Amino acid sequence: MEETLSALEPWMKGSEVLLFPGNYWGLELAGRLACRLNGSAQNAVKRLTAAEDHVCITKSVYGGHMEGTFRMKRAPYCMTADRGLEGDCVVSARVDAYHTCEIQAQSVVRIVGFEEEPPAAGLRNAERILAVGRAVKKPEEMEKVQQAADAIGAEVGCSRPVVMTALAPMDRLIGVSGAMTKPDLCIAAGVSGAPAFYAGVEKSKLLISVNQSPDAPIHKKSDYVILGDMREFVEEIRAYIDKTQRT
Amino acid sequence: MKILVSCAVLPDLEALASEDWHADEQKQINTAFAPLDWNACDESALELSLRLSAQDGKEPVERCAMTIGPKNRERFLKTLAALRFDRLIRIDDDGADLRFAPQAVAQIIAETAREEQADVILTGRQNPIGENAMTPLLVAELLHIPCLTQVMQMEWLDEKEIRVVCRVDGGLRTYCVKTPCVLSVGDVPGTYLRVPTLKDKMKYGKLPIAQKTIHDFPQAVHCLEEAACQLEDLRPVIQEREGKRIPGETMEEMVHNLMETVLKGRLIQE
Repeated sequence: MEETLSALEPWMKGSEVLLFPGNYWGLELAGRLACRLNGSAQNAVKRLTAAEDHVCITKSVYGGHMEGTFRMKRAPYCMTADRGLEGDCVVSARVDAYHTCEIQAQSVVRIVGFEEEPPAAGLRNAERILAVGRAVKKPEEMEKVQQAADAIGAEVGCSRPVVMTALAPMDRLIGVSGAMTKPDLCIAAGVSGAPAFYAGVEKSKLLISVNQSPDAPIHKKSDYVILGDMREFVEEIRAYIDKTQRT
Repeated sequence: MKILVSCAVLPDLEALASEDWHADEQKQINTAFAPLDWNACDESALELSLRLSAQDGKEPVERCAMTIGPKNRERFLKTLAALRFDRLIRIDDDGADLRFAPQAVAQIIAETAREEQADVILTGRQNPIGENAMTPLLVAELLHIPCLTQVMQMEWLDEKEIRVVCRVDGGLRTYCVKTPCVLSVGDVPGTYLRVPTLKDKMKYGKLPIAQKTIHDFPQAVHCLEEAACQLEDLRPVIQEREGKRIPGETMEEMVHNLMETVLKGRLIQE
């Protein structure tokens, strides 16, 4: 990164808007280049409008509960795209100039290893997802979730509390810090429905929530609601499939 | 070797009901009644700093924690005292609106790091209120030192170099980085902050907390006055679907009704 910034900085001077992808690399470049070029930076931009002497962007704030509109006052305006826009936009762009920059290796930061990770275990492109949340407390409960998911032909996804307690690996995380999905069917069981998670399932064609709290925010964001314990739900849905297959 | 951890204590946003999500004329959300807790990523940073210090055979490590906020944040710093942090600093924001001001926050952290002569500056990736993820990057730029983000693990190599594992696009990358440096911590499973024992609370919990205010950082005040970005509007996100309840007295009945009416034909049953 340090080398890339040094190489890019002279080429970016004089630019007005610098757009970066909404991944880890793009975020670092946007923030640090904006600082070096005395511009302004914003992350995860959903909408952008341009005026003569400024640009306005809209992005999620307050954990996704609110949307803020910000005036960026200093060019260059450096920003990353919101990850929820992936696949939504088809942009026709004319490339006026194409530069290659030579990067000189530095000794301050050395890369000494890389371990490739499979991309989100098929979650992003899954047609059916069984997503679970903090209601899952034990490894044996996760095993039953996996069995129920297998029975209905679904991928298992999780909200942040599940991966942070190591009940599921990070590649099962759904939401702004994980996979952004668009399944035909998503069953969100034992999930409260925090915006950071919901952002990862909001494009589901059909969304069913299972939560024993009638006030769980996920219910208002779902097409159908089951009020009940998600542990009973995974048992019953598996039993239903088993019974149907026997008859 | 000295570690400075910058950590925020925030209201639990999930404690607010949907009707609480409306901005007043000053574009503020009332979160005064919500319980306070560590910012999740900062909590991971604190726990990782404790693990870094605990490595055998390495030179003693001095840990300093700083937080920006009003006096009611001090009880969280007292927990860090009981966890044997060596120095605690609270910077009172004096009512300044730092929600969307990563440049101002970065100035405060950078200046503190210079004063404390920190070798490693640890902080969480972002604050859920601002959601900008810029602060650690800006601190690195202000101090002209390297920054590594999405840090998962850390290990001292010697007094001037650390081995760091980071989540990057496509996998996990291991770096060796010379100090001083900024390390930004993302989602790291199993890094909830440990709980101090009662014995340690009584023995170490009385460490005094150094007090400063935002006015002790003129550059931060200047950043607020000449902000590069300005909040123009704040609106709640409305995401509603029909929310039709599946009838049934028992879970068995509800699942039956779900499968027979809503999901019939949608699931492949082998």
